[in-house]
Amino acid sequence: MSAAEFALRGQGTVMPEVEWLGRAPYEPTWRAMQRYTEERTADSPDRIWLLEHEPVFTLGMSADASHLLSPGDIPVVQIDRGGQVTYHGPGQLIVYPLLDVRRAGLGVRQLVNALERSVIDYAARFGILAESRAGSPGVYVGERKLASVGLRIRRNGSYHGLALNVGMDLEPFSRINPCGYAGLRMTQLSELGGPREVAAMAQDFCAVLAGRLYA
Amino acid sequence: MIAAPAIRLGTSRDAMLIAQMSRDHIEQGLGWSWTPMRVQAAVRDAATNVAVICGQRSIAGFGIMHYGDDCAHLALLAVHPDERHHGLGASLLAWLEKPASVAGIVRIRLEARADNPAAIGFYRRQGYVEIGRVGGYYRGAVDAVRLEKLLAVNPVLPTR
Repeated sequence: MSAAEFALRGQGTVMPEVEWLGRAPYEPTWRAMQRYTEERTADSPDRIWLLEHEPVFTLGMSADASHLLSPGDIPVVQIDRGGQVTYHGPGQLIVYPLLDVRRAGLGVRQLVNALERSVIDYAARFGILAESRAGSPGVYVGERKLASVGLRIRRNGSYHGLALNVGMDLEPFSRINPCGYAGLRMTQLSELGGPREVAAMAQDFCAVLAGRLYA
Repeated sequence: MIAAPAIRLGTSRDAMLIAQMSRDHIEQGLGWSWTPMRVQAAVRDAATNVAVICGQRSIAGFGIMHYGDDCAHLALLAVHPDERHHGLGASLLAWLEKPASVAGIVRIRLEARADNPAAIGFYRRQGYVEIGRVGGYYRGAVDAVRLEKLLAVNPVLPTR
């Protein structure tokens, strides 16, 4: 996988290697995450992959196939993350934190909180009031969902992660009940006065996330 | 509108009160296995959440859940007798279940004292089903009923 690679360096802290993967197909990226997690050792660096996916519906392990209303020509993949059905496509920032959670001293709750808080902090830069909810994962602006979170942890390694809607065609979300909720409406940063281009904002967002993860 | 009860992660300063609640409201008649030191260890373990909920008291109830790769285990859950029947236990349990469902954990298991039908009824109402009975689970003196809630309807094993 070719990638422009750079590293964030903190003061004495081992920071993750951050890679921008550009536009990537779903299944090979998913398999690469699994492979990295399966093969990583105590010395393997943490990695954060930033990318956009080609259009795909993914069914999480709690997904009821009836929430997939009319996928049409968009492929559907049953995967091993937590959660329900969602859509990924161009214009949506995907963040995959491949972390040794034990080494980082993170539990699932802390990792989910860090992902959600990063979206809230980043959105606030544009005057967008976003919030998380106690009962359902993800980040919301009013009644509309801005970002989704779903993870898997194996052998202390995390994969899957966060999908943040930036400047995308939201129509495919109407073909599903996102996250298992009929009528859940989605929103995106570009509709709310935020950035429109994923490639232009991904590194800035990642710096916010790294600050939360490695504070 | 009633505000949602405040739930937070417990700290080492909560350990004594949590341990006392376990001794008095869960482990009665069984000795004291969840000592303050054991609760402290759970607070420090990143793979475990110690949750406390406020009510009339600063700690009206608490729960301790450990998260493995595929299975989470509810080690303890208690609400003070004066604070019951207000949904605090259900709120605590839902709060502890959220990371499990986000992380693709397949099932949550727990054991309840077989001599505590109220507890078993509570877990049934929260979607747990009995999967077995463990003789003498509590210090050889009291049987446990093992209950399970399946979170994943489509378990996908990682393959390459």
